Amino acid sequence: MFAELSKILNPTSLIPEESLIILLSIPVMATLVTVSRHIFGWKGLGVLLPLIMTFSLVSLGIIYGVLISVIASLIAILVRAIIKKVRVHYFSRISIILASICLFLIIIFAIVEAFGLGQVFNLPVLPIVLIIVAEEEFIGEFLKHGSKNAFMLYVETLCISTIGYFLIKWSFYRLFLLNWPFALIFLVIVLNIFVGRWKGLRFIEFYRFRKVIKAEKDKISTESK
Amino acid sequence: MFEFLEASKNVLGINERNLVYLRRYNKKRGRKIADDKLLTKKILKKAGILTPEVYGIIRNDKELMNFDWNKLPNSFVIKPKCGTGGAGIIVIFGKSKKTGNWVKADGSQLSVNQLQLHITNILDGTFSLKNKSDFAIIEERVRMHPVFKRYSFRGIPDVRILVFNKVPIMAELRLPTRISGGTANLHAGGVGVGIDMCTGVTTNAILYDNIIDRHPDTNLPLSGIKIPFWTQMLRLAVKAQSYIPLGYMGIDIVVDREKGPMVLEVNARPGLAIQIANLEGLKGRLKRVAGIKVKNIERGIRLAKDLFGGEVEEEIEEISGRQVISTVEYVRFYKIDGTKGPLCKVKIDTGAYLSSIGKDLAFELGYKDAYDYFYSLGFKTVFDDLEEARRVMNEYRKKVARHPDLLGIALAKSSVGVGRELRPLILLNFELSGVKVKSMCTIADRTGLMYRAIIGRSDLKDFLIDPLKKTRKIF
Repeated sequence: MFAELSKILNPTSLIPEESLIILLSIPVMATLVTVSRHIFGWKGLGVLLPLIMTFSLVSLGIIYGVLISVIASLIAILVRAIIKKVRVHYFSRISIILASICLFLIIIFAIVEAFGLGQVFNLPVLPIVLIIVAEEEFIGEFLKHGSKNAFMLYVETLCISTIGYFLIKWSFYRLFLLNWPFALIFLVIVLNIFVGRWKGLRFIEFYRFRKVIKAEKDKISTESK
Repeated sequence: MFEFLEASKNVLGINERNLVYLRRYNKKRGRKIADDKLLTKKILKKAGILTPEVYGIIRNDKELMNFDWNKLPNSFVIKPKCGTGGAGIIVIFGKSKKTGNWVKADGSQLSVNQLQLHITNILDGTFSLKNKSDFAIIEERVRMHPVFKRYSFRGIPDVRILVFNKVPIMAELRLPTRISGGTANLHAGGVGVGIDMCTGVTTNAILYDNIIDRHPDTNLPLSGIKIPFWTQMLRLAVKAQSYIPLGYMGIDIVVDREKGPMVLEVNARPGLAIQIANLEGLKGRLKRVAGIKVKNIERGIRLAKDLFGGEVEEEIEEISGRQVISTVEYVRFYKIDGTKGPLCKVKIDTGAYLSSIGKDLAFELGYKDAYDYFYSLGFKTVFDDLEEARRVMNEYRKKVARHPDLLGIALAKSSVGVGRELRPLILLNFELSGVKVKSMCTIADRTGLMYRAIIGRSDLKDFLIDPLKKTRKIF
């Protein structure tokens, strides 16, 4: 009885290390997104996208992951510009763009492989699929709110995912996670409660409202005079 | 740093807006009404509040196919029911007699087929929150009020009034621009202009959160526009809040040329950029209204006007009949031939009796001939001794006045070092804070000085000076 209980309390002995790290990193990544949104003011694209990107980066390796994502985005921007004038339904537009991304990626992979520039066909395929599917969100943002918004969101998502990647690869984090998995979850919940009740200005709002703050400051100083 | 943080406490951020004002004061029922334009219209209509008329609603493909395009008037607007940020709105201005196509604001034409495709996209939810399927609404196009005609680009400006606890808190005029493509939405590139709550006169303007002076397309100055029907608009806003259960809401009001002000839509999550347009934090204002019991609409309007508007400045101007100016002001100079000259930042200098302008500015205004004549007479102009200066001045006074552009000689304290100086005296027209001034003014060598001209006491009879006032470019 006690033996089973102690086993459950120490899941490292039951679940493979890598799975445990990935699983427990989900709430950590979600928290990272929460903090970057509410404290710093980065909008990101929800929790899902940075999560998908992070795990894709982890399993593809940072260089291949970022490269594939950037190439896919560039192709998306290019194809969108080309078919901009064609009047088709929204979903058709997305499908055309996705098709072009797949086509170009396969061609690029083939070229890389043929010239012996890298070992791309050995890469796991699922993370690549995830990256391409994630493109849909960016394209949607592109079509709806314009290129500037979409670009910012893309860069922010990529940044958060890269931070997530380095966090997951950080040995201290891995050790902490494997030794005290429950403490980590507790920490995450406490942090989220704190951030969730945070009412102050976000970092970028200090910049956005700098003129308002200055005007308010002038008002305070003239009132006190 | 401490002051900065203290001041930032008066500014409302997204976190606090969502957590405190939206969560606490805007319940689900109210949000549901605000997000549904048709329901909003229905409720407002019942309350006797004017809104643009609905010509038709298309809920699905079948209704789209059966829709009778011929029964529509020549101008109308197509919009998604749950759209945000002005996306998916098409404004039709008329029907082309040649092709029978509908004409858009920019002159391009759309056939019925193209309109149908657009509506299919609306039905598919392309423009709605979270891509949920949506209805298309076809409604009356609001005709522009002449006041706004010069300030907007292919679209109708609207006035967004924020109301909290039945008191209008803050307001902004939203102007469509070329970039925004005719919608008045600030995220899309529309211009937001802050409004003084008491008088309904505009103050500062913003484009993408940056302060601007002029409309980016028409280049007209944006401060000082008097909003027509201002008090009526405040009344509409407070009235709308008493019928829609939202504690903190934005009410968008348009002015139709014939029908007057009407409510275009209401917003349950009004944006925060309004603070930049008004250069004041929302939180400071919200805190002041939070506990007050507002018994009726008129009381709410009175409170808004007393608490948040009417800078004292204007009252002083009204009582004294004189303009309040700052110590540094923008002045429009007029050339010798009466045409418009440059706009310069000048110093209001009550230490000087006469105004004086720099040599280069005088040349620019066409006084070069007079200046050259003055100095070609060859008399001494810089003196240590006052008596001697007076003697020379009397001797040459008549000779100088022979030139048509010169009034005579002015005796002034030297601007370069000690002693006295004789300067050419000219007649100059300028405009300061909207008042035209005929000035007797001297030409001085102002090279190396900060301002190109100073305005002295003799030209300041119609003004009061307030050193705390901020310098604003109003031309």
